[in-house]
Amino acid sequence: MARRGVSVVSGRLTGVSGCRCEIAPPSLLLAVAERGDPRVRDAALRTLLTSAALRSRRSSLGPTLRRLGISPADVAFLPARAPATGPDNTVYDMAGGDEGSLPGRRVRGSADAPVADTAVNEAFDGAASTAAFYRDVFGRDSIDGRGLDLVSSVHFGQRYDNAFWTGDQMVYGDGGGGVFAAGALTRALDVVAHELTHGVTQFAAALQYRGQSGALNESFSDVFGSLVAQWARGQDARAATWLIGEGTLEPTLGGALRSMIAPGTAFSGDDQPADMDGYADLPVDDDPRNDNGGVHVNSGIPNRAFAEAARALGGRAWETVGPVWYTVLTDGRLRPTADFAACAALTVTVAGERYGEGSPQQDAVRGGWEAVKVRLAADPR
Amino acid sequence: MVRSGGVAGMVLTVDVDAAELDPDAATALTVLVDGCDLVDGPPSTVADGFAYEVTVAGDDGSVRRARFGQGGAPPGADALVAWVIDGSHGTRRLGR
Ligand SMILES: [Zn+2]
Repeated sequence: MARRGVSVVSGRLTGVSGCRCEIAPPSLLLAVAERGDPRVRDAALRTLLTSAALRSRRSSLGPTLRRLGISPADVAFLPARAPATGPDNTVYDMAGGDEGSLPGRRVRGSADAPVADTAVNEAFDGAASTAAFYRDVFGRDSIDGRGLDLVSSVHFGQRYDNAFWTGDQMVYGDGGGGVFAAGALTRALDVVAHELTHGVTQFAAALQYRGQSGALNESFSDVFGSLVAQWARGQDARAATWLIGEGTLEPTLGGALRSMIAPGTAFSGDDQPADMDGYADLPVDDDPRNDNGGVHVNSGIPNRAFAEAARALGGRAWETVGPVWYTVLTDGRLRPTADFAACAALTVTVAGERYGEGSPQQDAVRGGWEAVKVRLAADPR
Repeated sequence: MVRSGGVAGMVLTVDVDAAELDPDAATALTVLVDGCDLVDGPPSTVADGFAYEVTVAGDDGSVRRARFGQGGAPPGADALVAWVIDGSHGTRRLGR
């Protein structure tokens, strides 16, 4: 973080005046504003406050402003709501660099036409589609609900077989390292939306990334990753494959990363359990084989609960069970340490609130959890 | 070497035996191992970050091991990881 902060300062303040915040995510400038020496700090702060990118984010400045002794009234000129144009969408090229050189060189901004680099355009379109899904379906203003700008960096590392959310931006490797097909990581909309949903979860329920809460964190990313792809295709829940990352793997490994409807069948070596009978009780330790207590293993259980409920109801999953899961993720009742049983109980409660006690929707949600053998409180009927 | 996590959540194990490498590759591996500080590093702080385990077994029976997360590699470990994971040497296996 420190290295990134320093590079931002030199990039922002050398012979540049009144420019927009295009070089780095505003959170990096926030770090500089809080930790830099007074001169650098003031320059960074001035940049922040005049930055077009920050105009949508006054609310997120609160804690920093308090630490700097600035009252909210001093920045009342910044609008509280995001402008109608929505969050900026910017893509950077890492040209093979690693964490130390994030975000990389700016290659496409919100208003720019597509460029020659396919990965850039796919990252741009994937971020735009995911943000449009959250806005149009759930009325959510970007990843944080407060207009956070969309920042993506492509060509991370050499043949890097991963994509990830850093806490404030997306990062994509090129694949081709033996697990992913070359170019697959930006091509698959459900993978892009999976990663961006880690950002939504971070700003919403903040589920701890270990054990059952970590498996729920993973599962919410698969659920909304799948829903974004179904929404973009206008696809019915009964027509959907419920595969995550279909066609992204090297073909010899298998067809997809995960199957939500049939966990454990997506690729050769897929060891996701399909219900609690197969729950992998892995320790939370530093052994990479244990995956933080099986966060990518046991996520198959809540994944299947969702897919079974959505398939039972049919129709557009983002309009049936999707809103129940979204409310559970974002309305503050789901605790960061929630286990499967707590999440299941909350989905049944929310389905009852939204559709009525004993409604077909609530029955479908209950049926989903029963299919994966997560114990629910007895049905009062 | 073991790598897990990532968006795929797969466990990839790569075993390389220096005795089975051609001389140039064996030398390259030796240089990388000698240049690697085999100490644990911090775990990944991001969801879907990779987690690594590097184990070096010497001819003298010594075994050294380091575990660290993506972005937290000790000095020299990134180069060693890249050579082993990206290279075509040794045997690779997916699964826990
Ligand atoms: Zn994930």
